[in-house]
Amino acid sequence: MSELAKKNIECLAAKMKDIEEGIQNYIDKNGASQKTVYIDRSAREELILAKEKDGRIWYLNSRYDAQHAAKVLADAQGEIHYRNIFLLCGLGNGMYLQELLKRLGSDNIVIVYEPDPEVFVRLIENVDMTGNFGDKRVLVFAEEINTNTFSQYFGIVFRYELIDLSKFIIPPDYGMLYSRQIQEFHDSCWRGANIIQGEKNTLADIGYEMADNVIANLWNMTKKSTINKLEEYIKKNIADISDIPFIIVSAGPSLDKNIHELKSAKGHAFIVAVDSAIRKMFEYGIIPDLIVTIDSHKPLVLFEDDRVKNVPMVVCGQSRQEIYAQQKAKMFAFTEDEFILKFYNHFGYDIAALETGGSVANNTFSLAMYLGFSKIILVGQDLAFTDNRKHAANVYDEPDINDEESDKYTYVTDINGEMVLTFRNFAMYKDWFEGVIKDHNEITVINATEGGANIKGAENCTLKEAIARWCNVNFDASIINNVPDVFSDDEAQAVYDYIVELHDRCNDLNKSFNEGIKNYIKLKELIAGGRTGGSTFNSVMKKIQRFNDMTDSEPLIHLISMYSSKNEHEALEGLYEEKKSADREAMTAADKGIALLEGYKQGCELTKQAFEKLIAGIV
Amino acid sequence: MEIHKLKEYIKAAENISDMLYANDVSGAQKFIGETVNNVNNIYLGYINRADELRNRGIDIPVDILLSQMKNLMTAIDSKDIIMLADTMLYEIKEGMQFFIDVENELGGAQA
Repeated sequence: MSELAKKNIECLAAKMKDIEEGIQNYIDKNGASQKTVYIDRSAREELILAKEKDGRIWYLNSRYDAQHAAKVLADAQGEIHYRNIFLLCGLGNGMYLQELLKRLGSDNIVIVYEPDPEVFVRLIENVDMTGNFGDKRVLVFAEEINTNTFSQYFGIVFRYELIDLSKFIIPPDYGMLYSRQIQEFHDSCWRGANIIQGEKNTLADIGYEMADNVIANLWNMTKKSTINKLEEYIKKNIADISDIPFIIVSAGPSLDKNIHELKSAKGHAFIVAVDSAIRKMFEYGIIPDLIVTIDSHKPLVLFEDDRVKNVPMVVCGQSRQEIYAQQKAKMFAFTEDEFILKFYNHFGYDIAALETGGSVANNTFSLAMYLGFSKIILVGQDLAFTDNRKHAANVYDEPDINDEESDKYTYVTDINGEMVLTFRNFAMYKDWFEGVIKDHNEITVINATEGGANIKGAENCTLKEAIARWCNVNFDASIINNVPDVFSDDEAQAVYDYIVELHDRCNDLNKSFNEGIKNYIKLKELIAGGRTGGSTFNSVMKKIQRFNDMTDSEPLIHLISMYSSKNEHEALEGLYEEKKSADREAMTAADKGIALLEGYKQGCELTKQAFEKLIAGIV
Repeated sequence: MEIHKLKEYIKAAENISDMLYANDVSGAQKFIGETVNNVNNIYLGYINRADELRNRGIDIPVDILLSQMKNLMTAIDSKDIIMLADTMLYEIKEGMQFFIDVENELGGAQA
């Protein structure tokens, strides 16, 4: 690799993990392949790139004046909102990015997607991109190099309020040369946006319930293990898990057809049930090796069978508190929220998150990958209304498909190529599976549902056949009962003290919120009086900034925000609408800041009460 | 050929190339068909008059003009947006400018 390439990569690696390894892997794998991307010079001696495809050469930049063409593309974006997020689908010789950045403000973000890994490698080997790649506003993803990490960054960069401010830019000829890749990238952004929208809706609906569970479970959580420990244990104690399939049992209607087959997989696979499938499995006398439950709203009827208590379980802070309380078997926690992460970090421990598309089966799929399993079998994963039913028999008492719910339905292609009705959110879960399967070549997936939606990238076959092919080694899943817990008994007092400290901090935070509201009111007065340039104005702005910095680092904010999520979303709605004038925008921001903090005050009170309840329970 | 017409085609070539560099293909498509027809007719007109004009002391570079016409058609046939934009801005525009010079040399009275 050239020195220039190393410098370019260094700039990216500083902010994007895995890219260096991705580039190296790509070069190792494709270094000897026949080249299809060439370097040339424009009439102005600019370095330009050309791609050979379908027997002809396509230039990715103007052959006469690449800079001029890049300027035209950048100018075509028109008036730029200060929070626009640009998704630039093609780098060419780098000038498209360079010209775009010149027109952006410090709060804009550019997500670059290069659909051709060969173009990306040729570019970094030949063009000094350090200025652009080192720019804090830029993230870069190249196909076959690091697009598998895109979803992680998407969740960080995009917030609900910013989705409408995102703009795709496709440089000329990229759409012609790479239509499939760009369409897939667009689809993955769409999936990400849907997940954010779904999370927003969930938080608005049941955020308070989720926060209640997180606090109520806190003490019990510290008595349990984590998926981090489970992963370490598996790595250390199972010589080779590549031959052990990870079977995810969900409760789709097709589970009725083949659940009996699962018995023969017992002892030859890691059988993991999502919570909805437990009753059905017990009905057939099949005890899963592990149960995954996440939903703070999950009906407790699913956990009524006494046998549940003795099955190891993967949970998160938001899982139902009643389950934490009743469980006798091993529990492995992961985190769904920043608060739990910061809580563990406070004691020097880590707790992993599991990516999701919105369903517990998605989380379970992420768990399989996190634990290092590479063969995954999906069972009961219909993600569609098979035979006009939503779930397997005896799982839920739920209404049949009906006209009243029809706005929640959509169509997807089933495993036989026919169109089949499903919930919109089921379609979203399916899209998530497809995106992850596409991005992770290291895993092989069999969809042994025998019905329902077709999941692209997964091979369809019967469960019987899947078991015959993959479940051929012995595997004693009970070893996971030996996984150590995280906190030692000696740390119990420190945990208790920290919980009390968090409770006490609610009072201080409440005062800060009142102070914050006062600052925003003062800011409004100054703007209304036209006094936006003087020392008083600067002093108020500094106070607001200090307050914002404080909230950014305060672990409790995440809980408070969950409690007040409905208010928060309403407050932030329209925050980034087109700005008419700086004053008007500042006034809007101040109004919304006040509304947000009023919501936080209520959330803070609920947080405090929940901690009081927790502490009373511990004592 | 009227000089103001040639100037209009220069403007059209610039506008189309701007739209194409901005990847606004649907915008450009509204003008490409008519412009290309006109460009072809103008080019063919001067190529057909090459002998006559040579006799009047004006050399028409037929090979270059044919090459520019070919590039234009190749870009359209293969849907190569950059090639089409480049050809419009740096070849067809140059061709039109050349024809203006020719007309000026011929007297420019028609302008």
